Amino acid sequence: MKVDRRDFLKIIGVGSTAAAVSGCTFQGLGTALQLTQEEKYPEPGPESWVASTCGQCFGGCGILVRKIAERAVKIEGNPANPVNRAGLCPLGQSSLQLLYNPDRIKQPLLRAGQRGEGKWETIDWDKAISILSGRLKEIRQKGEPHTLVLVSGKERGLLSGIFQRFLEAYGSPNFISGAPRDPMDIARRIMEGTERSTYDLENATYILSFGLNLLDGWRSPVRQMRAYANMRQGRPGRRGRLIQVESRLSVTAANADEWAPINPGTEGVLALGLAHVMIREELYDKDFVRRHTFGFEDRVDEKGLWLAGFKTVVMEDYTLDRVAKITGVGADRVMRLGRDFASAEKPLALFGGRSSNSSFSAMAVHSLNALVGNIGAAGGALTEPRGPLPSWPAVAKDGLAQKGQAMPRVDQARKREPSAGNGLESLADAILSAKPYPVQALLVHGANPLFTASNRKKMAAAVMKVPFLVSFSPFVDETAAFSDLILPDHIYLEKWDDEPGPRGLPFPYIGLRQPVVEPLYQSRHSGDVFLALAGELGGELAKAFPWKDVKECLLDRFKRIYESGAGTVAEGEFEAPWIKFLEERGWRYPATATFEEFWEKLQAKGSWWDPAAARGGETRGFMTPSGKFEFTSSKAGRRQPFPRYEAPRFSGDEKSYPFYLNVYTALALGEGSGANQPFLQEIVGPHVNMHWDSWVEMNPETARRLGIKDGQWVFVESPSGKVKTRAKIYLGTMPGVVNIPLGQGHTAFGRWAKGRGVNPLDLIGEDYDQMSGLAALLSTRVKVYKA
Amino acid sequence: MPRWGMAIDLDRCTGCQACVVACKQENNVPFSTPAEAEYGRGISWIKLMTVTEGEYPEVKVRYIPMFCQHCDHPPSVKVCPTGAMFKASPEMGSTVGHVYARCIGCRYCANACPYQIVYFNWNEPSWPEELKLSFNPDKSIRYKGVVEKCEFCDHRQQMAKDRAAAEGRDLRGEGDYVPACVQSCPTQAMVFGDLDDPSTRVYKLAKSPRAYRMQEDLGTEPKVYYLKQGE
Repeated sequence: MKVDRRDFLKIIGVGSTAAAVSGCTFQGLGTALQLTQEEKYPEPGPESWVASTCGQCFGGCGILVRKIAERAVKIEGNPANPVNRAGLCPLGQSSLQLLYNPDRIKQPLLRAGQRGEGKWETIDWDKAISILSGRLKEIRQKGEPHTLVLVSGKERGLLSGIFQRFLEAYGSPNFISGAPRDPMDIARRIMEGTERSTYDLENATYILSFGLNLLDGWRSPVRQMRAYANMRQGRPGRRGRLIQVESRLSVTAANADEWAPINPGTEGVLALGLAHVMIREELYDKDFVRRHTFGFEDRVDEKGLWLAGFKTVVMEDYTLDRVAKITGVGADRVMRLGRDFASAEKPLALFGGRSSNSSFSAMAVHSLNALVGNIGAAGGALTEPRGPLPSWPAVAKDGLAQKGQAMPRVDQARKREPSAGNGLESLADAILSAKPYPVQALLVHGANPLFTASNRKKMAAAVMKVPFLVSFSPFVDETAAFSDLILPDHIYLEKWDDEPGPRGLPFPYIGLRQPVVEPLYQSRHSGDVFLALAGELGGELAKAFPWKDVKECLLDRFKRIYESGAGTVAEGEFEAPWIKFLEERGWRYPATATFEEFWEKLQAKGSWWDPAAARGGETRGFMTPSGKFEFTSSKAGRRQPFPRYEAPRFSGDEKSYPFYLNVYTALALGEGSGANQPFLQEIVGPHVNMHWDSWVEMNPETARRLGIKDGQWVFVESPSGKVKTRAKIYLGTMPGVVNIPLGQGHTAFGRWAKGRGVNPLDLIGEDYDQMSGLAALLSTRVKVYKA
Repeated sequence: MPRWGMAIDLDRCTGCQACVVACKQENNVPFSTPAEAEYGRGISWIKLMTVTEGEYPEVKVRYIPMFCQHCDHPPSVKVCPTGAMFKASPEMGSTVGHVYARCIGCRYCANACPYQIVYFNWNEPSWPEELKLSFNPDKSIRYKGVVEKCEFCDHRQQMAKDRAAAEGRDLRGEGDYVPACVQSCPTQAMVFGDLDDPSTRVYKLAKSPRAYRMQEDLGTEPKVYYLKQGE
């Protein structure tokens, strides 16, 4: 690459304007002379460090926080932590802007005006808890405990455990998880019978990613980036390859060796095209397919019906010409990718799309893993090892609780395909239709459905129908703005908690979260609020929570882990082989004599892990009815369309709405939770030189045809709505697609988030993947015109 | 005394911008308002430069972290009329430093620097009271009318020196301190150390066949090496 000075000025962007301005004025000079300021140093104090676990996402990174007296002044990655090993992403680095954010809620708020009017009365905690417990008592006395719904942003960890236990004892089946779900997990549930999926990124040598944001978010960003770096330069002489198939040139695609643009929603077709090449040229792992898979060959079912196998369908339906036509990827490239993938040393195929056929695509992509036989093999698709999951004694349920728990879930999650999890979006319909029953109270923790749900307008209407809405957010976000009561939780740097990490870590892991600073305001740990609530409600509920506070509950959890004898406090990079060696021989490493000693060490080092639990052997025990990997379902009478092509659906006709709308998440803002931090607002769009705003990315040719210039204000309109934002010319955009990042467009959430940019979810036509119930975000066509 | 330099392996770097935020937090760098950012007046001692090459569909996007290259022949120092911008002596690490109190805000350095990494404080930086609690006491707060730029976290070097002195030894070429960006890097793409000491990793990386320096033809002799993607 050759960059001369002229190019350099162009690339660096601001340089060109700043240089032009700065050459001709001495405005700053005069000011500096007038002010004659002196350098000021912030207040000094004794230095200390506290180990904890980052809470900006669920990635589970260990942190060391530098304190000067009682102030937290810098966050570093913890070198002892096995997830991130001293590295930290921009979100973790920006956490102090969360802690010291001037828009934090300082004490409980009770609605004073109309819903959403923004008038609040500040109340003390006793009153706040008595209001909430009074309401919950009332609902229970009416015999309708099942009408309580709790939305939690997390599905793992101590706090979510407390929530679920509370609902169980109270008598509600409605724990609704707002945690991100992954179509690849759904595919593995269908094909392997387990959702506990993990991928051996550390050992793969050829990653073929179909639209997965591997290097820009996903599950545990730092772990994935580390694995990527190791794949590239960690093994001298053996540089691994990354291929990104995606409709937009994302951060992952920019880092890849090759970016293959593909028509939106057709990733599965390309995968099966690759399968076609591999089968036709006999490049697949025949031994694995014969011994460990079901449904590859044709078969006759128990009723005597002939059923086409995977091979037949792929050979008939996914010819190179047809694949090229549907996907827009040339036949040569399909052939080359198929051969490359099959001949790689340790190939791994991954999928991450949100179209209406995402389960189909994920299954198609996962079929490639079966064809190369990398399931349960090093560098392939593994099953997450189970740690000594600390369980509490069963809840003694009273009659009301038993009755309430037996009721159907309000989102009817269990009525759909068994693979469907809990759908946050389906809550809106359930509330609006009052079926199967009206919701009496909605508690929201760690989630912001009025901003992140793909049907957020409907969700807002639904929330207005719920007579009692409680938010636990430390900020007045969109959902909290419409609530009746806000019980602000601490920021993660102020509290005791655990962090079991996201799905897919290669070893059982629990990060310890401990208070780095004393709580700044009258916020309260939501776990403590629930313990207090249980006490107020009394009876079996109170008995279900014998702990005096969350810390005691956490200690109890770690004590159970300690007593199980598994794993150890994570101390450094080179311990893993030792732990394995000793543990396989029945020893503990390093031996801690008492729990107190263990706890002290845990507080100093910050996390617990069990590297010995990852044993490759157990992963081939498929949990499917056939006990094998199932290309097609072995269940009698279950006619699953896969691998027959399921076309993606889009709202809006092609003529009026000529472009596909691709909404995407980037690391800095995520789904919007980073938008209240200025450091993150500044880094949202380096590739288009944008800060603090949204934009719509357009292909240069498309923009020229429409007469739209870079930076010009445009309307983006779909059948569901329209937004006004600026057009940015980006070469990594397909001619028929426009891209808008998620995370902006807040209407609340503090001074730095509110009123910045647009929320592209306002354009999305509500649709779902039929098999999984996952909301389809890539489901809309739009038109773009000058504003 | 080490001659401090850095090597950035672009084959490891993913462009996540952790370095960007880590630097701002460590050095009390003010965040921009949306209006300032729009004018290109945001201050970011290290920022992510994006290079886009080719034509659709054969497009390659590269991310390159860009910050003071700590040239051995820094043009910014030559043009500074007050001596505010200076090249540190070999005893002080040979970096390019800047004394705010001497700066008169003429911005000659900002224009002379071919890397465009000197930033001017167009406005009095301001923080809400709450956020001032997160200030790093080792780094002064700048004010309107002076320029600022990366200093390889010189305050960290001073502290490392004190620690070394307390142990009765000299600063080592590697391992005694790293700047905040290097410490945060999730992929360890950034390596910092003494460019003159053959035992350091940065020395070896700078000698790699993949290594190059920015605009070398200008004769600035930068002490930051980039390693291009590839084998």
